[in-house]
This record gives sequence, structure tokens and C-alpha cells, in this order.
Amino acid sequence: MDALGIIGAITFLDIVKFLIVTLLIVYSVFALLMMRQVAAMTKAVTMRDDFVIRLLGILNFAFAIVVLLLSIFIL
Amino acid sequence: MAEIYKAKAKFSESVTAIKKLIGKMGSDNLLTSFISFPNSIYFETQDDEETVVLFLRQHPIVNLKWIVMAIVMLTLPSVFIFFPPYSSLPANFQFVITLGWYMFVFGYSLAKFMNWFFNIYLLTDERVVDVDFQNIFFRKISTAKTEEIQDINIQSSGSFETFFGYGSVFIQTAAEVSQFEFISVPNPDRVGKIINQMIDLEEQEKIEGRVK
Repeated sequence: MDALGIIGAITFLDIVKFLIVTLLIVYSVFALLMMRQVAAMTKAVTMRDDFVIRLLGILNFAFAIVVLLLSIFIL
Repeated sequence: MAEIYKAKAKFSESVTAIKKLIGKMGSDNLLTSFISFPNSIYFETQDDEETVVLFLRQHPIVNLKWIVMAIVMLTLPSVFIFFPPYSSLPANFQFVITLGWYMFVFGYSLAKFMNWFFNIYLLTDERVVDVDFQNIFFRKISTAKTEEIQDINIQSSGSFETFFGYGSVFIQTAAEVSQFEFISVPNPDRVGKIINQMIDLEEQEKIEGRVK
């Protein structure tokens, strides 16, 4: 198939899928940075039970990865 | 060796004096915004013999704005469904977009919560510490010795601040950071009074030759 044929075969849903996956990749990087920043901050100021906030950071990153994988496989 | 013991005895004497002067205030939990002599709060650059006298955060009511915003954002997917192009997308696309939206709201709430949680103001028996956390890419920790404090201004304005009893404390110093801003902290008058007491005590220690 030539280049024009490939471009012609791209549907509206393909574009939506590409945008969703790109956004989710960007968000996953953001969530990873957030998790790292939480770890750095809890090291800078140590409080009792601060594992709760570290756990929230990890959950956010895990949630981002799950949604990213889901978007790749089910779309 | 005897000198170390003497210095330690002098140090414990000064901490006891501060404890006597200020007393125990506030609750010792993870989300506290005002507590004196917390049992379990330490910061990275804290000296072995340094004691945290006051731990402050912004008043919890400042979180109200983003909490309301997050609740509104959570309800949006149920509104999307009636409008194109969302309504014209296949079910699997709608599912991923909705899930992604909830994830975004969670991330937004977490970022806002972190902004409140990690913006910490500390007053130790030796210095003032300001932990600034503006966003996930920026954090700054500033300190100034108590003896470098020159002036304290307390400001409480607006109906919310008056009703909930919070305000800002501005501390001018002779240190590299010329002004420390304790924004929207609970009991600003009490905070100002404690800082003044710390300055007085520091001066007294200097006169008595008990400075560390």
C-alpha cells in the first residue's frame, strides 16, 4: 500500500485512539514524577503515617499504567 | 568530655524553658495544621539536638475550593453522555475516556492535596524553616536563624479568614531569604506571639552565654 493509501485508510477513531494513547503516556510520565516527588518530600520532612501519602502517589501511577494498557488493548 | 555533658545540659535546659513557655497545643495527627512540640515530625536538615517547637500548615479550609472543583469534575461524565462527539463514540472508547477522566480528577486532587500537605512551616528552638512545594516540579526549603529575625507582621483579612480564625504571618529576616511568609496559618496571633517569645529567649540565652 502506498503512502496515500495508508493516509486514506486512517479513520476518525484511529485519530481518537492515537490522541487518547498519547495523552495517557504523558499522564503516566506526570504520575511517575509525582510519585518521585512525594518520595522526595516525605524524605525531606518525615511525619508519622506519611506512608499514606506515598501510597496515594503509587496508586495514581498504577492507575495511569492500567488505563494506558487498557486503552492500548481494548481500543 | 565534661564540656559535652555541660553543653547537653544547657541545651535541655533551654528546650525545657521553651516547653514551659509555650506548652503543648494542637493535635498530633497526619493532617494537622497547628501543633507545638510534635512527637513524630523531623526534617532532613534538622540537627541532632534541634527540637521542632511549632509545626504549621495552611488552614484546612483553604482546600475547600479544589474539593468543590473535584466534585463538579466527577459529575461531568454523566453530562458528556448527552453530547456529541462523546455520545457518538463506540462503548469501548467511552469507557476508556470516562476512566481516563476519573484518573485525571484523581491526579488533580492529589496534586492539590500535595500542594497543601507539603507546604510546611516549622519553628525550631534554633531557626525558622519554610518548606515550599508549589507544584510537582518545584520545591524549596528556606531557613533563617531565630536571632536573624527582625520584624513580624500578622495579617488577617476577609470574612473567611476572620470566621475560621486563620491569617498570614510575615517574618522579615537578616538572612539570605529576607522574608518568610506563613500563608493562611491557623491562630496567626498565637504564632506571632510564640515567635516573639522565641526571640526573647534567644536574646536571654545570648546574655547568659547559653547559645549553641
